[in-house]
Amino acid sequence: MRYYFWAVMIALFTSSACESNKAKKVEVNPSCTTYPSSIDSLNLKELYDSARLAIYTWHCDLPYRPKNDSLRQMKFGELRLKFDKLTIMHDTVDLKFDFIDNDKIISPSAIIDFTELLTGIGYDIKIHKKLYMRSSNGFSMTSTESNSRYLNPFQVEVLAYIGQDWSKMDSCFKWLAESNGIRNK
Amino acid sequence: MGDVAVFYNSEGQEIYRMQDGRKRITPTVIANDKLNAFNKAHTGSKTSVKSLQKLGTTYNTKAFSDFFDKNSKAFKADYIGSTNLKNATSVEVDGKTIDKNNLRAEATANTVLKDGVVTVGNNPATSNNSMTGADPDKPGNEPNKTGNIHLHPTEKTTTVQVDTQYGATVFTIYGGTPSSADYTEYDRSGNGSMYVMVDAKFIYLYNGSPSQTIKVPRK
Repeated sequence: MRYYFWAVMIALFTSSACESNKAKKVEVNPSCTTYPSSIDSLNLKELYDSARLAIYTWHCDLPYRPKNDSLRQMKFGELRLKFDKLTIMHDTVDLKFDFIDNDKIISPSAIIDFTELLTGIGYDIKIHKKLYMRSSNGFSMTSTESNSRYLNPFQVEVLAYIGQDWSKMDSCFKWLAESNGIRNK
Repeated sequence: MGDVAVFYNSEGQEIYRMQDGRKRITPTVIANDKLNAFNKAHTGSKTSVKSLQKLGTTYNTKAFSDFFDKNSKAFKADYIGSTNLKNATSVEVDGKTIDKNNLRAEATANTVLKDGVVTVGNNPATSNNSMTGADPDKPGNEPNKTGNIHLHPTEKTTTVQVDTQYGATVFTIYGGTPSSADYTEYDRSGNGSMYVMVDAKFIYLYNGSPSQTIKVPRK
């Protein structure tokens, strides 16, 4: 009987702990894990997620103040990222996204601070290595800087942003961060 | 104006040209609803460049070229994209080391439409001190404003390597055409007249559709 009591207690505790962990987990917006058919059919989900994470972490703590609503104070980490297109040229796959506000693509000139955005990423399709980030302003870049988000997206200031603004972050950015082991405490 | 008058339809296709022996091209875009009148006019016996230009919108390429001459060296580049060059220990352009203070930035100004001619406005040119972008709203409003002109400091694809104490960042700046952000910008703020991009070699008239871009030599 004593054994039975402790078995029930352990089972209850374990169940309660699991429930608690579940509550902490981000509720995944289905749109975050729904992939465009081109991505799905070419088996590029991993690169698609990697690109979204790289774009979010590059821009997340930049202020977003639209010219047509200058009183709004947001950061790019709060905005929706929409897939635009996939281009394959030889061994390079280029994934292009856009930040979206009120269903409109955000262009640099629509922002009070005139922010040039890097929302395209190129990968070596065979070895899945990031080759460049590119901007619709007509340039691409690559970096070997040790303190660059290009090499290490989760720089100290990015982690600080995630810690402070978790509740405001776009749900897919939260999911991507969590999928990469970054959780708000 | 009037050196070589070239007429385009609104899809950017050349439909007629009148030579006068000189090199500079002055483009005129004929709207769809004026095409019939234009076709009748240029086959008539009393055709003149001026009478044909009255049927469309003419672009003052001499003024656009002068804008490049005046402003291509006027603004120093402190940024490429959002990367600040202040921490650069050395900069190479296409493999050659240069003084980072010699990098030049994009510049922009208004265009105005008066008497059927699009030319450069009176407000001073402005810059965001970036090699790769300039805010088209920065020159502000002025009478007859119809759009904007901006210059690209690189007319061909150019590699810029920026070294800092932490490593190197390499930029590839694509030249020779308006950027996709330029086309998107027209979709945001365009109101009929084509926008203008000019580099050392060419003048580009563009709207939101890349296939309709008109490209003419700068000189």
